[in-house]
Amino acid sequence: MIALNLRIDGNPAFGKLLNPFSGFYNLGEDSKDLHLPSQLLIEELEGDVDIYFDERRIPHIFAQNEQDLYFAQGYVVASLRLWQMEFQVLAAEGRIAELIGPGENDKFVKFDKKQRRLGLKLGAQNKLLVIEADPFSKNLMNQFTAGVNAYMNSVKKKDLPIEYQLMGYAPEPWSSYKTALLLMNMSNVLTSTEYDIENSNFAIKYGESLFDSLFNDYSDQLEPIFPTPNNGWKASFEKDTALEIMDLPVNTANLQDLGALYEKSDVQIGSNNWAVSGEKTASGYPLLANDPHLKLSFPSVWLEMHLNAPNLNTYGVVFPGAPGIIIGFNDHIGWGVTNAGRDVKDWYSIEYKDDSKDFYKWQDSWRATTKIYEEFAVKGGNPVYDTIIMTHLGPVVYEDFPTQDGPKNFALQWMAHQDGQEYMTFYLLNRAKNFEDYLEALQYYECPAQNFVFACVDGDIALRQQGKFPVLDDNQGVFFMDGSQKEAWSEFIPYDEIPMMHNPDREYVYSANQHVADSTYPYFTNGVFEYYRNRVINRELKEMRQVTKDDFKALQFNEYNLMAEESLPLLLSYLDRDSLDEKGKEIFDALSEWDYVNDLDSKEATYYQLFNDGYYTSLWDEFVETEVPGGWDPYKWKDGWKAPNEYQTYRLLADSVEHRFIDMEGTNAIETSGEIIERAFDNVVNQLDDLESTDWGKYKNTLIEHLGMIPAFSTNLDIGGNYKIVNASGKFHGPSWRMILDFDGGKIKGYGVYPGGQSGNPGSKYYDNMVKEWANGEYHDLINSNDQSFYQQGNFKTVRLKKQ
Amino acid sequence: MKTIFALIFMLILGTIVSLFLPWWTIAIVCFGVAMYYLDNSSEAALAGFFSVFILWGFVALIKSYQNDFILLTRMAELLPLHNEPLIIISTAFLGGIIGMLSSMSGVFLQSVNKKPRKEKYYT
Repeated sequence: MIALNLRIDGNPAFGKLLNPFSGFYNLGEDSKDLHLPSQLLIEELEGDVDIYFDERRIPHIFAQNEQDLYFAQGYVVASLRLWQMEFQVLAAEGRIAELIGPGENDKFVKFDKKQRRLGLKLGAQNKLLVIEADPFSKNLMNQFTAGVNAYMNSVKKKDLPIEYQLMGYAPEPWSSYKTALLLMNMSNVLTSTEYDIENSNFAIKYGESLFDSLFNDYSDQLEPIFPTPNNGWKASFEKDTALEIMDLPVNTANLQDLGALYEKSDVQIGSNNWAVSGEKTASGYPLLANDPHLKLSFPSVWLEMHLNAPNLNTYGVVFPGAPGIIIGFNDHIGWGVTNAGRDVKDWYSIEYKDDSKDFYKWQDSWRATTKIYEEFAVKGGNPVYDTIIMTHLGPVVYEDFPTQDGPKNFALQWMAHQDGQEYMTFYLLNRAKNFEDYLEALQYYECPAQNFVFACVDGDIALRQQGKFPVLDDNQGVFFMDGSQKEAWSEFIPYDEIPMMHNPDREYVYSANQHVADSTYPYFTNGVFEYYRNRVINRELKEMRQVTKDDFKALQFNEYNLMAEESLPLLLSYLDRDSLDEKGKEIFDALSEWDYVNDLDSKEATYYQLFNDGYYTSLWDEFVETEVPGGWDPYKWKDGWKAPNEYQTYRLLADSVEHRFIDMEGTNAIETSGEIIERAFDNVVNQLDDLESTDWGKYKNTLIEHLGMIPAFSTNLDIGGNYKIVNASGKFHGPSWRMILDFDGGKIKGYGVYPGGQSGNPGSKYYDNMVKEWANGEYHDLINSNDQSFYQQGNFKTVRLKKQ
Repeated sequence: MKTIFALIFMLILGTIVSLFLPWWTIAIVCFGVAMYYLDNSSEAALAGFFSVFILWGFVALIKSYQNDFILLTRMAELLPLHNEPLIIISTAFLGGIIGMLSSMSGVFLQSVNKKPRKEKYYT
């Protein structure tokens, strides 16, 4: 009996799991039922709160005051997504090994160590201090927390999400700290593509001039988010002269065995947003669109919700675990976000005085470190300990880390460590009535920097890149720096010198993670940017007249592959059609006539992808792992290295730039571009027979993966699109929420869909009920009526949280 | 006949305790009924096995049906066997084994208490 009630060797306890009374069967929801009591007495409330669930299980929460509203939001979010919100927090905090065990090769212990060393907890603690010090913030967070905990206390153990049963643990009480951790987790996802150490390895081995010529990031062909204003940019800070890259010698001697850096966020993460003014629309009122591209997961990143209280009526999506609506609209304005992609993570080499690590070098003397002791519980094992060394720049993340210039210690300075009040931005946006309110709301927003698109019923449209940006020297953050010479960031770009557009003459604004501005912008803007999607959006918006919401839907679903348009003719020009065999000719002709649309059935899209991947990986064979796990994405770099991206690569090819990497490693011959391209093409032809299908959708086979990576709770889909394409549905990432707002007649009507469902329960019909509509490019009407009687009469299921 | 009565007792009492008490209390029911009512281990094995087999199988089936088999389908992918009917059958079977072992323990304990009489039977 006891054996059946305990988890043995990582298997779930079968008696506990299979018995039909409290085991998993119990979580199979009857879809007619809400699985919440229709009335619940709550001590903390000041008035009654009515929650109406519609046929997609969207909660419409009506409270008599703000206090109760956020309490109810916490309650409802927890009832739908308890396991997800807690699991994300535990991951941010570095406690996965505690839940699951050390994993294969201690991978969960290593993951936890990474989270703690990066300082996710540190950032959350800094944010918590601000929350606790400000009575307003404190109250807001406390109400939300109390709501989450009220649900947790009311739910029976057997009704807890199935993941708790499978992994054998129980939820812990929620807190403001956990909400702060959740926001840190998002910052981590959105600001973690930087290559300081990889770039340095390259520059040290091959020299700075080769680095500059291969990694040149900008060209006149590109179209930044913010064109240079007619009267130029303002700048309060003089730009310092270009930073000396490093006082490190070029070390072309033996190639060092370099260290494996922590995994970055995927470059496929991104977003689109745009708005057009009434001048361009059929109705004479603005239209706005937004689709953030994140990892496609179950439960979904987002949860749809409608919040109503006196003077507040807002609808949109929330992060399960944080109060307020993050992307959405109210009765006056609508807003959406894309990631700015700016580099706000700088790395510094630190030299300890001795092994005690009590002091580190600062100019001609030493500074004292502080130490943080970390203990990790490991399920089924002994606890693990780690000491994190703190410097004036931040925590030392890597110690004794092998670089091209020998082993180094690296400290991280990261904007996310600072104490931003991002939740205040959303609190204020939820209530904003006009452009001035929007500007005021954004002032609180620091990290991760976003491009906030805006439109208002009075006809205004705007776009502003919002974040806290340090004033950088040229090249600062491209390479790692000497921690004994650099002070922490102290100057920041002033609010009114951050680029913004308000009702521009071209009558539209848009952003898709591209460069913020061209080189006339007086501040140095390093980052990871997008090159193709944004130009397709601009092309379309420029031509659009008499726009309706259907045009916007079509644009969100646009599958035109601009990278193919620019690179494929170039690649094909190196091939001699006559020398190809029959099959080769067939593929060659198909590619020559392709319309560059990556739709579901396109075979050419698959040929092109294989051709591109083959060329790219053999060109940069010095830096790319030959065996890519999973075999889909070619960008698995060798430890410590990174090659130029595809845009840079095709620019080099277009300009016929000769460089040492064209030659393949490990062959006697000296290869030319033509030979590499011919070989890549032959490989495409040879590979085709091994593929199950050459239809693009089937070949790509998009995965929506369960957060705990349980395959049975995940789904595969055949859909068009790809990253670098406006419909950015890649293999693992994609539009995690598509929203269109129509301001027709001065009243906002919303349309939206996301690839998931409201419930986090795999045993619910509402776990994945919207996936199909999302895949087909369909949208739901977003119901945001202010009138409670509408919900009382309609087909809604009601829960009343009653004041006790 | 006695076996069938025992089975019905176990089924009724077992349903009641399972609805209101932790799942494993059904083992106590089988144990108790067997100890007070049954005489030998083969009766106990039969009654115990089939009472819980029927109860668990039936409840698992009803709950899955109400859920349009959504969760059962996913769990079948997750658990060994990878087959929906087999998951229900193994649920019932696991219940049956629990019922059987508990009932047999009940009879065994009874036999320990009535040691002198038992000795007569077996020697």
